[in-house]
Amino acid sequence: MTRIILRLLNGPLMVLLFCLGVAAQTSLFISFPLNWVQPDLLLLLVVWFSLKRDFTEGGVLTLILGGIAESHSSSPSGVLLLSYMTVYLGVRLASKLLVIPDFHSWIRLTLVSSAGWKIASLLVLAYLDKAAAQWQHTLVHLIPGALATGIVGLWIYPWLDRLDRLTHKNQQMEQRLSDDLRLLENEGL
Amino acid sequence: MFLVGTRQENVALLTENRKLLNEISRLRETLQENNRLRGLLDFREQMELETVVARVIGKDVSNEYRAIRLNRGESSGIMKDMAVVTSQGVVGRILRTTASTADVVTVVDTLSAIDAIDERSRARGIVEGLSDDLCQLRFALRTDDIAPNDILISSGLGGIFPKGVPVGIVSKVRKQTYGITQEVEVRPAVDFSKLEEVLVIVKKSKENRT
Repeated sequence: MTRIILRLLNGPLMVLLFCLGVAAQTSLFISFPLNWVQPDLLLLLVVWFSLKRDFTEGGVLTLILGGIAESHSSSPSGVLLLSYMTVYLGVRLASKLLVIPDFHSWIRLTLVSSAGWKIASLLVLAYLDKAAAQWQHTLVHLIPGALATGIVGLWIYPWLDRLDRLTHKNQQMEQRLSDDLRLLENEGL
Repeated sequence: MFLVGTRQENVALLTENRKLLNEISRLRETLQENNRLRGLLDFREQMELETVVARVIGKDVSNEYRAIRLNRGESSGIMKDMAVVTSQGVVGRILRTTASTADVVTVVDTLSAIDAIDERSRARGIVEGLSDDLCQLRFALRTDDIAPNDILISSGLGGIFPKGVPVGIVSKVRKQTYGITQEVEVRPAVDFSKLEEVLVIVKKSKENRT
């Protein structure tokens, strides 16, 4: 029963974490140097969902988070939502085509996702004929922003993993699966 | 004998000293806030505007856009498309409101466009946001007389901003060898890195109403 309740709480907890990230980005990141090399805490969650959730659950959560981000920004309606969904779908595609074996691969993926997010945002603005004023700013902040997001991911991802183990994953089932795998390996299968 | 109770006295004095230092710090902060608000009040009286004072409580969630959030909203009479100014100049316009907050598209935001006039030569153009501390004056004709350090003021067209409020100061002018316009870089009149309180114009004077 406890397991089920914790599992049900996982989604709202993730949304709450996202709101905390929004609060941090809209208040703490005003001062130098965070206003210049602002790590995108929200992108970290989107990458996490694309790697650790199934398609529907991750997609719905990304849509919700995109909507929350838009209500805290002057971006045209749909720009942030489209950008985050692009990252979500891009990372899911990458996880199907490429092997993402370990934590360091996640960080590399985060670096690429951050750059991809900014470019996706710029492309949407180009469609609205507003990219001419924005592309220089995007280029200047592309690499520092991606690096800052990757560095923050070094702390955030293990923490999210711990939260998932507590609320999302079934540890007994995982243990059983790993025991079965070990048995099969021992028998040479 | 004279040192009896000295330790306790010392601890009490240190505690009182810490309290007084905190009080001094608080009073200094109040004094600075007082000076800022006095500046806003003088500006409001000078421009004959009916305004609501609001405090900046947050910035845009994304680094690509430059909105700010104020701590006043519909319950204070603030509505969409109202102008936001300070004694330094134009801050932006209200983008959206809730009961207790309002989001402002600032003059440095990419999506901001304010009709402006060169105070000296009366040349006209549209000030659009470029980056965190830079704007550009678009649609200024090649033949217009615009020079660095010229002050750009709001023209009053559009009915949002009252006429004559500083928008920015020209920092660079570039004329290409071809084309009908010139490239003008503008430094915003308001220092957004130090922005704390703003005035939201809820009602303009009869003179400024269009």
